[in-house]
Amino acid sequence: MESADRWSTTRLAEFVAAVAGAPDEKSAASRAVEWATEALEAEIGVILEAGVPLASVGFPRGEIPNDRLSTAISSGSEVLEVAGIGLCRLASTRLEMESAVDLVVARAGSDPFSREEIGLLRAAARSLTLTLRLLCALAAERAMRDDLQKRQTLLERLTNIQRGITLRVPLAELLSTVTINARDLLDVEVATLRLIDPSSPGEMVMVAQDGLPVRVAAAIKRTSIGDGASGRAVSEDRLVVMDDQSAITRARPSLVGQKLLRVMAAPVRDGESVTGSILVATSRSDHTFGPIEQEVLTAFAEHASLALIDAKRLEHIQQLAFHDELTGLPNRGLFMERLGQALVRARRRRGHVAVLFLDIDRFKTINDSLGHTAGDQLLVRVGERLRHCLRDEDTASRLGGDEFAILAHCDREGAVEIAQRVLTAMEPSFAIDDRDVSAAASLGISLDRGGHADAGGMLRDADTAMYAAKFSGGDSFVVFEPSMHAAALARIDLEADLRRALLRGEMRLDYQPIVNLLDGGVVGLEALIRWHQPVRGLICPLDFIPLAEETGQIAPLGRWILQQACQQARAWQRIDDHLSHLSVSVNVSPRQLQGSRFVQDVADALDESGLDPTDLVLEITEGAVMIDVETAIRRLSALRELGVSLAIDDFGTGHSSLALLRRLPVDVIKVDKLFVDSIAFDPVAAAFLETIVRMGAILSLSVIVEGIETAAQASLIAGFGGVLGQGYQLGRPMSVAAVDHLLSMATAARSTPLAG
Amino acid sequence: MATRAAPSDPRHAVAATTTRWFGVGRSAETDSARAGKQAASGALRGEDPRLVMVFASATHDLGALLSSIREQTGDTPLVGCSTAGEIASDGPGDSGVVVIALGGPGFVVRTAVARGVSARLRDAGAEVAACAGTAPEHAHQALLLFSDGLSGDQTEIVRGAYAVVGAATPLVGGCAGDDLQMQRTRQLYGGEVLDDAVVGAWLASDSPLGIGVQHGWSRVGEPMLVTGSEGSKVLTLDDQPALDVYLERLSPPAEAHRSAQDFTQFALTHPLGLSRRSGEEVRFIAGADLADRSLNCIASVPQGALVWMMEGDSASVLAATDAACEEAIAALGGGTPIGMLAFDCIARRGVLGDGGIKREVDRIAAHADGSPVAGFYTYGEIARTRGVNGFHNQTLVVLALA
Repeated sequence: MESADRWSTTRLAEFVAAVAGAPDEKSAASRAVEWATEALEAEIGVILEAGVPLASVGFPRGEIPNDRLSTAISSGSEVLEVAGIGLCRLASTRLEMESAVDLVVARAGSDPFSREEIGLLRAAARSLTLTLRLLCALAAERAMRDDLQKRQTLLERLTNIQRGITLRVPLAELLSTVTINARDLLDVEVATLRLIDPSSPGEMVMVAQDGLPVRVAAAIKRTSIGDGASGRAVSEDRLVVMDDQSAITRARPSLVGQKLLRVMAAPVRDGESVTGSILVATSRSDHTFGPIEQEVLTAFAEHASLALIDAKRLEHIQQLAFHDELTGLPNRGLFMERLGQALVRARRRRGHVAVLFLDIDRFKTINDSLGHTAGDQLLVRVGERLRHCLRDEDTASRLGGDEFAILAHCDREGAVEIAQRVLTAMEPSFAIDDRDVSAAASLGISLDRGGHADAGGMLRDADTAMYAAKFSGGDSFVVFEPSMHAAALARIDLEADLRRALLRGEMRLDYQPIVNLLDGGVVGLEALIRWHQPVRGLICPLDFIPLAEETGQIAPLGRWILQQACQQARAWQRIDDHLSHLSVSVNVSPRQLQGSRFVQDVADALDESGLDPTDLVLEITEGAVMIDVETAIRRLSALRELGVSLAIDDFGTGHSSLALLRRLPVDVIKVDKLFVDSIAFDPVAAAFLETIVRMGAILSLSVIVEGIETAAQASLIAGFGGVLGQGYQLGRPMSVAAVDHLLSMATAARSTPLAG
Repeated sequence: MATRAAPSDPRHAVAATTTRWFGVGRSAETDSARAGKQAASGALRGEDPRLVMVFASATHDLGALLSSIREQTGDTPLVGCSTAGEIASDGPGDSGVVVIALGGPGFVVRTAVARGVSARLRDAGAEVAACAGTAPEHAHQALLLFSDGLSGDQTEIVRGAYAVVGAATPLVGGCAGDDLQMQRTRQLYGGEVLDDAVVGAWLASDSPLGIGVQHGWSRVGEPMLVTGSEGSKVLTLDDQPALDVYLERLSPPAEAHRSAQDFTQFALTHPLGLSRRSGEEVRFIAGADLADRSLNCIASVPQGALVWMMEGDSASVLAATDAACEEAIAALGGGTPIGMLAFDCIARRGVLGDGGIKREVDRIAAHADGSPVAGFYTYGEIARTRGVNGFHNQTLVVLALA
């Protein structure tokens, strides 16, 4: 039996190594199905997604009897008739994906799949799920990396157009700049800009274009509103994507030669009404117009609008052109102009200029859940609060979306003060539609002395710093450093490494003994995560747990820790009878506790390991509870129902109050090292610790005293009636092998009468 | 059926039924043209030949050899390869040639070749397997494959072929040899002499085909974890350089520590065993990299796998021979074989020695009970009857034809 256990666990390690390196979902599925079939010595393996095979092995020429297979799976059949090999045993397991994905194997003959084999198949499916999710995440990560760079380029291009408007560049030239930049940035073959002909309102005229041969452009110079993508963008007043080549050429027969496969057009406005549209077109089949491309085109359309509005040179129109309609704050154009002027003045007077870039944290979520009107209201309120934070000579502006910028005439210290004021101003919740909406912000600061910087560069640097603030969890500000651009990318890299760490087996649990102070026996072990990153070396949990929390990685990581710790504890319990109630403590991070699946994860880990729930101790910090007391109490009660023991970690360091302690369904308190350090020579500290220990007894709580580093401390604490302790004096965090050794030594000592 | 039985001549190794015959001829002549002629005429003992197989030492002028064989066999599909020793009923031999012919309406054969395979092993396996057809009257089928074991991970070829033929068609065959020069092996197809190729023959018969696979190695010492590997190259075992662990565990003679050639000689009889559901899968260690302290195997050794050092002795290897033959004959469902093909690992030859392999071939012949036996010493064996794995090392594969 022992060798069989080994067989399946080591095979799983092979699986992880084989599947983790897959470059895409298709090859991950192929590798997984092949591996599972091989490991279970089956002949047939299939991965079905909603009944459609993603990958298969063993059917001649891949001819898969989909229907029969799907029926067998859904009916829970354990056998399947396969042409050529006869009746096979069937085993299948469903992946935890959004769609129904089943991993299925079939083995010739009557030898049924053992429990262990089915367990291995399930474990493989879980691992495959992780890989598939990782591959999705990697694609997102790549997109994010590109996004960061594209944002900066877009910012620079738009700034150029703005500068053109400010400098009163002729309209024709400006509109041409818009089309050229749109074509260039979106990497498409053609960009055109059309305006409604005021003298013939049913028609549009192409006023600027880039990428079309002159003759072709002349042939389609005049078109009708409502006709083609550019005409529809105007008549429907929305962004239009057309990816039907025949429809494109039907609308514009002279474009046949351009072989355009996909076009996208966005309306250009003149104040209130639509006056034209900007269009981009591509002949490359792999070039799609997704949300990012649509956003970029919209940005160019908005700037074409600005250019048009500006060109009218009317007072009230100018007002529109330089102020954001929604918030009434100066818009990007005015902001850039003022920034440019501020830099010129700073050059003369060796003065200071600071730019603060502000982005509302999770604005998209707020917008999506409460609706755009509420989102707009929030932007207005944020604009108001910003204005109140500033002196008259400073400028707050809305750049677009949920992005704001502040121009301040101050040095670093002054800018930091403003940032702090802004963050404080954001703290009270916003009353929107009778709801209290909380919104924090991330701020980036760039600084100049003596007007050496250019306006576009300063805004870009502030944006980069803002990103750094976002990465550190938001609700904070960061001052730009030249290394930051690289750091932002490095952070993305660390995040990517973290995503892969589990699959690559870089995570490990060490365990620190929890000892009975009266007899020195080990009663439990606290699991401690260790990340050995091959390039970076050993990474401290403090450096990656917050990142894991921010990026949502905490859920799979937490699940893994729970599974490992429970299985390991169960293995140790089996060593000897006297270890049969050895407990294992697992730290739960705040975000993990808030997660809706957390209780289920704990139940699964217990189920799979066979560990008695009372032998699992979940350690929760006071901070984790304080984030959202009601949710925390709900989760803790649900965990309590499972029979799991709960411990408050680092007791005494946070806001802990006796009142809270009594409301929480807690069994154990862990007293922080802080209270232990000086007890040997400081009677006050000793009395304090004794009080906590006695209070625990009164509340019927077990008390574990952490950070015991000397024998003197241990005996003092034992004297207070403290029973359980943890610390270097009692046992350092150690590897599984070292714990094995420790426990077997203890077991041997017990069985030797001389050792008592 | 107007089929004539093959002539029954006790001097030649021939067996026949009313619809099928199987003949073997061999020659130890050093002149390739004469050797080919002699072996072919020995094998070609019936009418309507359907398939010719040639296993010959690479020391022959293989082009001349094939021409002289094809003078006799004409356009009959021909597949084969160079060897590390040839096998026939009268015993093992070196530097010679063995020709097998089979025919009669009871057999249906189609052949194929894939060239330039080292960069596309899986596709090559699939390409060759595409020759498999359907033959409702010939319900018993197998795909014979002969490949270049020096062209990369042969598991991939088997996987590629399996993807095409599926679970219902067994795969059987071996990797060509070059008399342990480990330089260049040849594959034979029609009149062509190729390298870096896979040749295949889909064989369908109206009577059962039985396959036996056994190795006869056993574990030595404690298991080790493959902590680092790249394909078939094992970098570390238990986090230590693989070669150092191997040398420390097995304490081979001093020369094997210093010379790559002596190491290979030693490793031939001390393979690795991978932990698998129904026992262990043997991995032949083709050599070591004395500089980076890694071990080079013939097929992949996945990272994370549990492995043992394996060893064998004459008794265990010969016991495996019996077991493989019995397994193959049992699969005939009570039928008696008209011929047996044996693909035997060169490493087993290393354990048995020259006297031992004579005894081994005698045993195979005894199991064949008078029917002819032929085959060759391989650099890797192919046999997929169960599961998806079909590439073996240090193993004996026997195909019995009823």
